[in-house]
Amino acid sequence: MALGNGVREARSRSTSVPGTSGPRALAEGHGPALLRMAAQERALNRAALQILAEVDEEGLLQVALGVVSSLLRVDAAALYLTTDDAAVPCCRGTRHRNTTFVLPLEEALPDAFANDVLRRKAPRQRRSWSPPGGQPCGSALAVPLASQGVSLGVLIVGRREAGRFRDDHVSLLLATGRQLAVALLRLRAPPPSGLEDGARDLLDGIAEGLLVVDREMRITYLNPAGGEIIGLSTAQAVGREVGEVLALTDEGGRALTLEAHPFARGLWEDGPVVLTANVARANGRVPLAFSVAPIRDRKGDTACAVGIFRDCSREKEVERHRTEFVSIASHEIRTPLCALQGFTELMLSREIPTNVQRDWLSIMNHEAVRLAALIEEMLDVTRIESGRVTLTMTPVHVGDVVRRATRLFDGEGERVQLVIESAPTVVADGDKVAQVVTNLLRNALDYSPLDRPVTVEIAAHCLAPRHCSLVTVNGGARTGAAHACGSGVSVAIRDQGVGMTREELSRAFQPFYRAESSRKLSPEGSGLGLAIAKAIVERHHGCLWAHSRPGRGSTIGFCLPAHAAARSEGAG
Amino acid sequence: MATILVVDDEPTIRVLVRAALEGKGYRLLEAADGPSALQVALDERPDVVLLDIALPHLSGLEVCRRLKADPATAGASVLLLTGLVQQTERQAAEQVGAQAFIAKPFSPAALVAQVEDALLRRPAAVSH
Repeated sequence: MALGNGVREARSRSTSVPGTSGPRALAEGHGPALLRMAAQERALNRAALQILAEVDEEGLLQVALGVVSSLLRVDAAALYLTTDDAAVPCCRGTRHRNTTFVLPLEEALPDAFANDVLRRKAPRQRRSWSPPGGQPCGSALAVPLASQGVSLGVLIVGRREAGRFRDDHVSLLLATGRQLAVALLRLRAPPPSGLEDGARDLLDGIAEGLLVVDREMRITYLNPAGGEIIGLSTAQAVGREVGEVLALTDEGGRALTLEAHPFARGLWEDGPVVLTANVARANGRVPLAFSVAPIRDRKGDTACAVGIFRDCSREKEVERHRTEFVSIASHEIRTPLCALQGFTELMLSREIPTNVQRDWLSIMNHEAVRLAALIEEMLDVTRIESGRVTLTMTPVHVGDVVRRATRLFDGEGERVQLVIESAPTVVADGDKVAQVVTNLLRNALDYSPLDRPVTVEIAAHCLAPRHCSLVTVNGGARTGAAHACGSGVSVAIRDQGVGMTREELSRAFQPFYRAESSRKLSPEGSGLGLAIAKAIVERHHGCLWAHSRPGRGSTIGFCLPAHAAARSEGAG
Repeated sequence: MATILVVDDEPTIRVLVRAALEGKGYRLLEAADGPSALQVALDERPDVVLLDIALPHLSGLEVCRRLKADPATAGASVLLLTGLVQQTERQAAEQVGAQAFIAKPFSPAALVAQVEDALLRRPAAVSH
């Protein structure tokens, strides 16, 4: 009976497993059992290290067989691996490299032997057997290869001589088998870039864009949300190079080089790459926020890169708005501050006649009051816009609110003409609605001649003129012309003043914006009145609209929603 | 007698600048917006223009650019006096040929020093 090359090869490889002579030598030399066990353990540990160091399955099995042959001093070793398509757990699988490891017992070993081990999930041995019609040819020991409940196959060793395998050999083979199974499972785990169906379903459902590229920057996965942002379906995108599908530009509009592309950086940089870049769209550039990280294989090499991305236009807009607000606010604050610092410094540095001092003090007082009002209004607009103001919703009679607001204007109030068609009660924050009316009235009175009236009309239907500009519809920003909401109450404030151009009107509700004409008529306005009115109406989910012609006056109005009126009836 | 033109839409600032420079022997002129600043500069040929940036009708930067572009007014030293203190404004101020950039709020004493310095280092003598 000839041993194949494989066994020799296994033995030759086994020379790299030190201490392999230990178990047998100790067992035969009557050494203390403890010493033998310790030596076996050391040998097993070395074997385990050797097995775990292998990075591909073929190499792993080669090494494992070599290790096992040396460790147990057997004449042959073989692996039976279960096949993927096996309906029942059986070892009708590949006899791994059975040409390399010619197991003398192999031909004689019925599949039933290995199958039995696989089924029982327990070791089995045969002291001797004879191939059909042949001479008795040796003993065999088989252990299952299993890990985490997964049966992978059977590991079999054989000896030429008949006889029982010692218990410690059985334990050793079992331990090696477990180690081998763990290593096999680890190798067989899908690479991170490969998506299993469950994972795919999960990623498909993510609201943010998710894209995976391989090392060549080719798209291997794109979820539907990402497809929507990029403007391609998953099928259209997969296989294409990400730089071609997702051409990006920087803040200045310059095309990003391939190296600067978030997915290129994600592949080749150490940590996650977080950046914003723009993608061109028919209606302009859209900023996208990316977060891309490399995924590494077991050897630590980059296998692919996974990135999430989303349209961050809204954040950018808010950021721009905030920066602009802070910049303008600081400018507005600087003028009154300038007066306070300047005049006090002058008074401290030289003798100033009392009458001049009084003039300056009066200016300073005026500026201090203006500064306080400005800060109050700035806080108002930010508090209301950010939703930090809690509205106190109670049934409010809009006619009463308007009458009260008018009275605050002293003598000027006489210019206000009230036209109340019907003034229903709505559920709203009365003080805040009064603030809207006051701000709109302030504007109308300031920017129209003293001899012209200002009309306040109140109705139970939408008063917005056909060609007005919509500032806010149902609490959200929208622009357009036609408007007819099913309001509970509508208030329109009409003046015959300077009016605004289309451009001025489009910016009139932005914080601090002041039209040229308004600067002349009322140089001290903060430019926040209309912004505050807008914020309050938005919080009430109402509509705000404006109509204006230069030199012919403006009509600015708001509607509070019908459901608020309905709720008031219910609540009232 | 050196002529100083103060351009600001805020009357308070014009009063303050006037108070700071009063008694120093300057002839003080005022303008409240861009176009009138250009007109006064052309008519009166000031030596120094103290110019706000956020002005009605024509921004201070544009006023400065036009003053520098017109040989009749190019000799005036322009000191921008403004509450817009972002880097972009500072860079723009340099580009349009302003001699100095003074941020509001400012110290009247420092303003006087800046004006005196500007008069000493005038780009070219202005013919009156």
